[in-house]
Amino acid sequence: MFLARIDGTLTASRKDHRLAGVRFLIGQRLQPDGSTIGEPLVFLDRMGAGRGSTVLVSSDGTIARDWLGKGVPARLVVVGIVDRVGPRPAAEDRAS
Amino acid sequence: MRLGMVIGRVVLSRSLPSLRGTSLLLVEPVTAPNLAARNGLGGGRTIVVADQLSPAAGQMIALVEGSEAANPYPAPTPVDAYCALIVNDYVFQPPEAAGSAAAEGR
Repeated sequence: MFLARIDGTLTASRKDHRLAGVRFLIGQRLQPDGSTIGEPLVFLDRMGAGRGSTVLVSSDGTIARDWLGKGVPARLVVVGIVDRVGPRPAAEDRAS
Repeated sequence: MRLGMVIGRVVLSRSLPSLRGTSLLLVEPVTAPNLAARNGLGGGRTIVVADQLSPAAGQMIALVEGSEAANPYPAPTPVDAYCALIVNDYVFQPPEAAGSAAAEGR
């Protein structure tokens, strides 16, 4: 899984029939410092993530298969909308 | 999925039986600056993409990569990239662009 920022949407009238009715978002993979890396990516979304949100994306294709059927050519699905990302709790914090 | 510009197609003279009849596109993945510029250019490293939608050269597609690329084929097929859709239109407005516009306004 990785974090990404949603930067847009796309529409496609010609597509694999199993993708009918799916919402597509365009996003960019995020680095810890907030910069983006790699080429823009298209995610399948059913969580209603909006532009500017940080999302958790899974590249496990079984999510798309369970959702849209066995033959669906899709892998990247938004599985969460991120509230915040913080530093790992220090050992002393966890002990208290 | 990544986005890609269709720049051509590939025809094989010989292939594995499992690949026979598979249509193949030559595709250049689209980088963020090119996507934002809407300049019709890809800019990424060219790849070959299996296809059943027949996009024309110059059209933008979204391509699935990895083992999921073979999902639409009923029999095991040795493809790792597949054209899932042809893009009609898109919105792509990363905040960097908004930031630089705001900076120019100041």
